Amino acid sequence: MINGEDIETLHGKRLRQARRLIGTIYQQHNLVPRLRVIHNVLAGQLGRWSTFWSLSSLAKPHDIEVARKALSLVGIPDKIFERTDELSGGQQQRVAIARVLVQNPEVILADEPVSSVDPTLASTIVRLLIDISESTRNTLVVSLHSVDLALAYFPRVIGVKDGRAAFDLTPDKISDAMLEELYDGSIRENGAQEAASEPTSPIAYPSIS
Amino acid sequence: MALKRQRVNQQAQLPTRRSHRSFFPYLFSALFLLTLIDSWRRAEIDPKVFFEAKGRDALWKFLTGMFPPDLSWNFLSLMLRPTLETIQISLWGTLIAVMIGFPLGLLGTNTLTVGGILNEAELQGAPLRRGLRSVIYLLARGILSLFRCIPEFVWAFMFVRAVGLGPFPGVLAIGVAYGGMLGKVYSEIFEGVNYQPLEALQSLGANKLQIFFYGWFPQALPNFVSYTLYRWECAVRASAILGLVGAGGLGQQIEISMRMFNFNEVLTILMILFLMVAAVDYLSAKVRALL
Repeated sequence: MINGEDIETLHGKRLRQARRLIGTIYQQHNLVPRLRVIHNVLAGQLGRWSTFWSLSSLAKPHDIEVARKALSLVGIPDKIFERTDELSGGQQQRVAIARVLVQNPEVILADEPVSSVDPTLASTIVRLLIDISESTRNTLVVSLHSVDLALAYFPRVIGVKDGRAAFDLTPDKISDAMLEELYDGSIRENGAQEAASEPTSPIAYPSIS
Repeated sequence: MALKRQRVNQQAQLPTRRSHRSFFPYLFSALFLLTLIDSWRRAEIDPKVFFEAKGRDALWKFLTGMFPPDLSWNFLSLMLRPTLETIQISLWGTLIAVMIGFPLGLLGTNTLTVGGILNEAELQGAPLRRGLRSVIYLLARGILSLFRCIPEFVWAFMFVRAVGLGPFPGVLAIGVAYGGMLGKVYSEIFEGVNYQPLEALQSLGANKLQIFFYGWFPQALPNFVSYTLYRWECAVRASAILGLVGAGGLGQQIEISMRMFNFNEVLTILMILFLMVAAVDYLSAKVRALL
């Protein structure tokens, strides 16, 4: 459900408009490697642009300033005209975040956005996502395997075990015993942390199939 | 030790597998051999003709007649126009082929039109829409099959009847026949891309065409260009052949020289053709290196 509409029944234009309101960041950044960075970032506009306008942007980019601003926020404004596959993994993840920034959705879902980067970069990216969520007043939902990151940065943490929420608390109320129970007995991978950052009033989590 | 034992076990199992072997391989080998023997007879393959007096003489006449090739300025300048014409036929033929093959190839790409993850949400619980898309898909594939299963030679023959002698029927023949081939290969190239970036584009609200131009086409571009260039190379060769049925170009000159038993001119034309194909090959290699 999003804004009172059941996404599963939508088609065509209205489905696309509903999708535009949900931004997603993936484990693999899912960019188009052969495109230049600017086009991957401006792809965030596709939900708003007409087909013709988006086509002409491939020849001569529209909204260069929007893309530059988004890339500045993620710290790589100088890479704007480079080819995406020439960037490092961490830089590509930043491009993916810049794309979500341009998309400016109401909810950002991040599916293990830091599982393929080193720990220092991981905390930088998580902090970046939280900063964005706080400055845009948009909801951010992140799934993480790293308990430390979840407890350190997020105002609300949900422990998920066997497809059920084991707990749903602020980090200061989560004890070591609870974490032990979450991971207890099962293989470590079974437990995952859902961390949510919700500066705005609670929104029902959108269900996307 | 453990490894050794395993190997012994495998050996012990082999005989039991062998006993399962059926007689089918023998049957099919025999059938294949019979087919080959029968085809030899029916295709009237007869190497003897090369050694009989008549065949030997004709062959000798043809080969000696070719040398030395006619490199006189007079003849070469006469060939300039047909050579240019051949290139022009191949260029426009390939261009028309792309214009036919690209849209039909798009509609004939299963993952773009009907199936796959990108159509899942759209077509779920909408049997009418799914049916319509399937019809479009099958229609596009059907047209492409029809276009390419008729050889360009036969197309040229028909177009000569329809629009008269000259290079234009050659252009049309290459456009239609190669359009069918290009369309089929394009759809295979489009189906072979990485779908994760496409899903990402869809999930941020892009429509099909936007997904195509921002995700699909950039990924497919290198294969797209190199296959199109390869077809252009084929078109240069084909446009020479098409002249034989009166569709202009160098082929017509080959036919004239053959008729007049001027084999030295034939060799010259073949050399021009060779140089042309080599040049096209070189050019397309350069273009591919740019991608």
